[in-house]
Amino acid sequence: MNDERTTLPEEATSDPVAEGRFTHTELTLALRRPHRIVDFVLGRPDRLARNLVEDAGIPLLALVLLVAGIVFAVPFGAVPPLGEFWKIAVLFTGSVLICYPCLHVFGSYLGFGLSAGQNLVVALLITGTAGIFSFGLAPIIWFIDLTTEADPGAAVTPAHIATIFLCVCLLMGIIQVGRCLFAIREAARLAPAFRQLLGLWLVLLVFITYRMARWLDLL
Amino acid sequence: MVRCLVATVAAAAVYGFSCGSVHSFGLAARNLVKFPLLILVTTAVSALGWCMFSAFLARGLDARAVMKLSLTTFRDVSVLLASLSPITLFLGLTIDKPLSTERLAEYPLFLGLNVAFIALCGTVALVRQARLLLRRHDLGLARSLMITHAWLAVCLVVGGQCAWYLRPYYGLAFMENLPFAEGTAPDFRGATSFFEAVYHLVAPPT
Repeated sequence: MNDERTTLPEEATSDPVAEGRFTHTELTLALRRPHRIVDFVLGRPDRLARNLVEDAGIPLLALVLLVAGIVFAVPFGAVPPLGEFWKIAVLFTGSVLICYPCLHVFGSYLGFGLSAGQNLVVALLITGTAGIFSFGLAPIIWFIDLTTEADPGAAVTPAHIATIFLCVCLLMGIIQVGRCLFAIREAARLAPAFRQLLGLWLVLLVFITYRMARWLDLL
Repeated sequence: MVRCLVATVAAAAVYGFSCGSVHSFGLAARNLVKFPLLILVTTAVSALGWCMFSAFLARGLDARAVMKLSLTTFRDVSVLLASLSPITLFLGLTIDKPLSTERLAEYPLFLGLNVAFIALCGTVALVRQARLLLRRHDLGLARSLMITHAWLAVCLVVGGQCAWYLRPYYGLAFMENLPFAEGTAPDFRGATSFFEAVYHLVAPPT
């Protein structure tokens, strides 16, 4: 196994628009004030990419993403039609954690050189983003359920809409990983072979998430 | 923001009143409440979703700016519609009233015109919003369009369901004792939500 750590040097030609990585203070502050997590996770893929590429603040960043994936997913699960607060957190975070070992092991085996922490951040970025989007869609699904009295046999029920919303959340998570990997030049350099592995891993993740959704009676 | 909200409520009420005139003064009076309610509920329920999509698509567009832009768009739509309300009121009072479900007379024309009015005003307001995003927030054309479309999608999902719940706004003149809102009652095809009604348009139930 390749145990190298990818700590690519800062280049003079790096993206001039991109700002520096998230500092320890910023990440700690985000944990104390969760509303800042939204901006960190959704709005700053360039800075996330810097932390990732420079292998800096990874444990704290992983914690922030884990918190985002769990805490922000609670409202969508808690409101009808699901009505069980833990299910969405388990759906997204559980699926990613199940799939994470193979991303790291295959990545190391094929010599991409990302540390376990870096791979974990890539994986948790999906759950963090999906969790935050589920938070934004929670009032909408609650409202739809409140204003619909559908028979179980109806063509479209709030549960169907909730499923579509969850698909959107997962899709946004996947898109965010892509944005992060293309956000700065150094991160894009990681890409060619790693992108292929990640693409295959995402297919696996979608399949496991689907199985998890069935197991949780969400489908 | 308060002035914007007041203008939205007032303009929506004016347009709502003119729409209800096709049925009766009673329905028109109810619409004074229902149209502003439709906009306020849609805004409240959509707000978090808009903020998430904006945070995702545009750095530097904070929650306050998002709410301001959204409220401005709704105000624009409402004011544009209110400017058409004299026409709607005139038509509502003068069209050939429907006599039965088989003889709808000019009622479909009235409905069609109002759908066209709403589509026109919505489009104009959205184009203006996209231009504002371009100019004030320097987001670029592609990003401005993406944000506008994301907002529109959230708005359609929430606004569609809210409008469904609060129906009717127009009403066939011969139908009496219309409820304030049909709520969760199924429509004539059995649809119990906006989404099921749209689905039934694509695949009518047998």
